[in-house]
Amino acid sequence: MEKQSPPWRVMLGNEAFARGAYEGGVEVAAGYPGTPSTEILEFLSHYREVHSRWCPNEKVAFEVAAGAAIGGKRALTTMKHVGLNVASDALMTLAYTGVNAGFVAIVADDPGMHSSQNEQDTRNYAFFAKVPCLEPANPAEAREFVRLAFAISEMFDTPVLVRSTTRVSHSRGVVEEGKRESVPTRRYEKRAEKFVMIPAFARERRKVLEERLKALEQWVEETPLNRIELRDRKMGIITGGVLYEYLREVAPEISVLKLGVSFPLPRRKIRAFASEVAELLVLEELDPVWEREIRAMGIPVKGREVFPGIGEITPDVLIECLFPEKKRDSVDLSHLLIPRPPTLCAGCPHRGVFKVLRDMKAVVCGDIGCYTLSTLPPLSAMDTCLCMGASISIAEGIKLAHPELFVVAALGDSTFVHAGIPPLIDVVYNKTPIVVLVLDNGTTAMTGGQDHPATGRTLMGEETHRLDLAQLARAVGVPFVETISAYEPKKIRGVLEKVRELSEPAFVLIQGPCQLKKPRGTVRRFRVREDRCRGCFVCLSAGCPALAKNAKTVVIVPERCNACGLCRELCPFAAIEEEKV
Amino acid sequence: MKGSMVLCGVGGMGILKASEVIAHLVVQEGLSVRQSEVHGMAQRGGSVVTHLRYGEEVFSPLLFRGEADFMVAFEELEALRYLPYLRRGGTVILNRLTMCPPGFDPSHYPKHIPETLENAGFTVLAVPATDIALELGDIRVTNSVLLGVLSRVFPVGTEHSWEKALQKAFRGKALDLNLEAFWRGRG
Repeated sequence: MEKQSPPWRVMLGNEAFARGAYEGGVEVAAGYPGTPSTEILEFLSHYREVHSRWCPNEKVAFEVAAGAAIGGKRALTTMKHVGLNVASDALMTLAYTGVNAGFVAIVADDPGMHSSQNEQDTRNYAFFAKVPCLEPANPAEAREFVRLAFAISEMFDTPVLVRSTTRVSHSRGVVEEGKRESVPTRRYEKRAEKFVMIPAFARERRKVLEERLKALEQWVEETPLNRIELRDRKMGIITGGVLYEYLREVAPEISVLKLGVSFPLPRRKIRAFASEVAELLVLEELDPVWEREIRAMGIPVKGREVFPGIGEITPDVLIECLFPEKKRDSVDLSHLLIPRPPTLCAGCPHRGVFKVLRDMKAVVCGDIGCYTLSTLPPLSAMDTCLCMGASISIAEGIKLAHPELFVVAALGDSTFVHAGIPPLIDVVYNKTPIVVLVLDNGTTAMTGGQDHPATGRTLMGEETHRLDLAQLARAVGVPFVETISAYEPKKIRGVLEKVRELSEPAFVLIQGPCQLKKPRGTVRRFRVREDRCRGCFVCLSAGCPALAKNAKTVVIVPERCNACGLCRELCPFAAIEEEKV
Repeated sequence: MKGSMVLCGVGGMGILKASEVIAHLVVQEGLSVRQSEVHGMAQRGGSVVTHLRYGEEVFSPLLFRGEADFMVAFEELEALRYLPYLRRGGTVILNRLTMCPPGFDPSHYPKHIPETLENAGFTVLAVPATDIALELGDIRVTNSVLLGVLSRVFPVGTEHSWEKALQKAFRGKALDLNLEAFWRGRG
């Protein structure tokens, strides 16, 4: 009789992570949006049995989930690689306390920096914190590994990391679905010696951590997550994650040790594999984490001398490394191309303010969000962008170095709530006369529009208290607080001229809705009056994708225009007017 | 049975949705599929591409250069940009739409792209899919018009399985309009 197969679906990797957590009996899930991890929690929020939430930042999210696990419910936290920097304080010591119910953190790396400010390898955190790390290769494994991660977490009483990468999170594949495990809530009991990390208790837990690591080192030798596939013995490659998928296509004949567990490493299995093959290579994306360990074991291995350590390793890169003589035949007409970089959308509320800042020759300390798109011409507005919330504190430092400069910090509403509040308090406390501009578009735009504490809605779609950002600024003691519409550049300029002369901190909230969240179908329409347009192209200097040059004048491309009216405000000759519809 | 394709265009044109429909289709026909897509910053009016590979057994979600049998290009310049992924002699489903990147002089936009592609040895099916979608009352069904055109030459799936795949991706009124768009494209 034919076996009845379980139901399967084509799933995005991030949907499969959510499915795995759901099936694994997760009850609390918390995170902060960040490409390529965002959709995990969005998918999970569709399962009403799970309490899913966006938190102000990754540290809060990590700790909420950790608390739920300590309390006795299986808990998940999700974030991008740089988010774990923010949450790492909690990770390093949760490794000591251990958990109670299962605790899993899915962290998504972005090799090649498709949508990130740096490339960092989350496996380093596993070695650093001494916690196990699983590494799925595709959506099917994403589901399976997360499910298993909860069991491993409880078996060894440890937080478990699951490392994803862009090509696992943002690729689709066929995934078999299973049933949700029913996991009863564990008893909560006060255990200060386990959960209060005062030095006396922490010293004891430090030993527990080492013992746990020994037990994990035994387990990794036996788990089928680490798998030897012996084929041709001339060459063997140790790899994991999506690189395994590429390798199977590029060199199906090569022997492989596929590591599903990035840390700790199965040393006996590695030695056994090394003894079976004539030449041993290690293929890993980003840092030579495994290569260092394997070398330290005294096993001759090649890694970085064959594969690049910078950027994404694509199938084409892999072919070039393994078979440099193989040339793929393809047609390249790139000499005809013009680039198409991402831009601020037509009608984006960020455009006007950056045009004003550039005109005023302000030093603009930027932050993480869509508004980094104001860095490139024609706006060319931004001076710095480092990490979440750094706009304000970097601006303070530049002002200290050069008091004569007009220094402005510009950051979005979600980023401000994430990491902008402590530096704003510092501005007031240390009396640094800079301007903090919060560009409030009412959403976390860059990651696709997620709610946050200042939107008044939760991830589960409930109404909640809406954090009032201007009131918050007043509460921490900013002497000058003002709110302006994003579409009134003259007014923005007026206020900024005024605060430039002040020798005290200022907070200006610039409001305008994200165009991607705005309901479709606009009733307003703008046009250029050819009799008035003198072809000065001042309007083009704000870089709106709906404006184009037409011989001697400017035209508005109607299907691209979002009718924000900024160009009308910028035109010195009143040549742009609203049409009567 | 084994094959692959590249879909490309500009952010916000429904490219991800179109790839999703094709993924449903090939899986319905008993094949496996791997597909990769772009989220985040690249979507802000920038160039967007998805890779799709299918067969009895597929591992990589990313294409090799010169591998794809088909290209579905939602915009003409983007067809040129991702051409290296297409195999020599492959088929291009080309939307007759030119969108000059903001800030660039339209006179620098390459001319006669369909002819350029044909002269380079590709089979080109050029269709004004966006115009057809606007005629149908919603620019968003451009993707289903192009899927209709693809269905004329794609070796996997019957009319019925295409309809089923569309039903998986769209619901209610949107489904009706997308089915109509698909049939217009299929001709």
